[in-house]
Amino acid sequence: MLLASSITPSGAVWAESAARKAISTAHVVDLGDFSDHPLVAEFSESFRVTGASRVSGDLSGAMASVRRTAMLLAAFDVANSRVDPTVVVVEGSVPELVSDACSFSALLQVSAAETPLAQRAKTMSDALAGGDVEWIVVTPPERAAMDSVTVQVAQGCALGLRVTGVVVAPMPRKRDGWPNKIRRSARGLVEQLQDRLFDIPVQRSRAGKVPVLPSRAARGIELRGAGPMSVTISPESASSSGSESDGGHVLSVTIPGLQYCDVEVGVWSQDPSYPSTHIVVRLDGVIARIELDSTLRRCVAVEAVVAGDSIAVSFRADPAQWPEPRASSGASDQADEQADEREREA
Amino acid sequence: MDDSDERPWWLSRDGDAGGPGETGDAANHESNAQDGSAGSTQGWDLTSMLGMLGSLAGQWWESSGAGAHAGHDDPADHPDCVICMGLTRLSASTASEPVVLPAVRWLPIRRP
Repeated sequence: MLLASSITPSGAVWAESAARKAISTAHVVDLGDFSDHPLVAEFSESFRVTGASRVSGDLSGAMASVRRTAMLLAAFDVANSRVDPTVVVVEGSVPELVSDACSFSALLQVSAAETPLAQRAKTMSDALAGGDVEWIVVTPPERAAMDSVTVQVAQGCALGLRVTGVVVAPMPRKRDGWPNKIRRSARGLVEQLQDRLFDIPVQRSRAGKVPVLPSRAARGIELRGAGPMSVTISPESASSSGSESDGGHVLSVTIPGLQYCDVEVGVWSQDPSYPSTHIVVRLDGVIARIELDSTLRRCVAVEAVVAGDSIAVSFRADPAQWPEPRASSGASDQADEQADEREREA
Repeated sequence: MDDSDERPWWLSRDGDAGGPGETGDAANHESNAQDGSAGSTQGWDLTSMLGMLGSLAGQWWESSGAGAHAGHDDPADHPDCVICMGLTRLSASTASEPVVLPAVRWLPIRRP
């Protein structure tokens, strides 16, 4: 599945066009087409909003969020049942939509994990977080829009979306009477965006035509693993901690465009038997949860270091989660062996 | 005890809400109802019955506390109000326990 969106409403046409060009055989739908889908009512009825009289503003936003998540779930179901790839044109912010969908899925896992609806939501959130869903976003060559798209791309990468590319369109053209200075300035902004979003293809429209972005689905490549976000786990070195390594670990996350976001980092546990099961990264208000492996689940997060486009989270082993050290049993084994030797000598 | 003793109290001619057996003659009442002039000449008629029902409804409304309930915001804050009590019980019987996601523990951030 490929999601297509735009920073500005007028760019929606370009987004759809770029998606069609990226996957020529695609089945194209609009997310709004699913507003009457039965799943929307079923999903909406799964959530009760309490305290409505006190948070009426939030209630309106919450209901819209539930409906959009349900529509995405319906679109995902349709895409999964088709042989040809599906393009879903989304109005508004894709990272906000995906973040909400993943949060609702997490809520369902906690409250009603065995229900078919929860399992469907989990299949979708796993696909989103696992880099199985591609995304094309369009922005005009305007400074504020470029800042917005940088933040959105960072959010999308943190959520696990595979960003197929950013299209800058429409570019000011000579034949339309735009002066050279403005055209040069627009090209400069595109280059700036390319520098900001390393590893992410950034292409501009040429001669009024949309560029062809390299969609993996179009090339028949099965999407597996994470998107542009890279996550590495390494044992903490003595030099970095300033002391002997005590079994600590460092989780490093690199996200294109991270340094242009307001960043918060935390940990969250879906399973009460572990100190934490996920790293939570909040980028300009959008929350992404990154699942921890079995080793880090048994550790306690200490602090986060943010430098450039990278986040390094240090962990210390949680004594309650690890078995007794083997040193004592090894010593007793050694004593037993010495006793056996003495018996043989005797 | 014959059937006339079991007539409802509201068939009383004198307009009082008496108990069973305190009413007038059923035969007289039927003849009065048929002559078409009962509404203006007799002690009990449709108008007075409606008025009585209205009065009773008013008494019930007052005794129920419904008038006072109009000023109640949160039913849980007014356990003595009959309507609030009903609403609280109704919501308690249909709503499930709210599920809240575990809170995020935000970490201190260092920027070298």
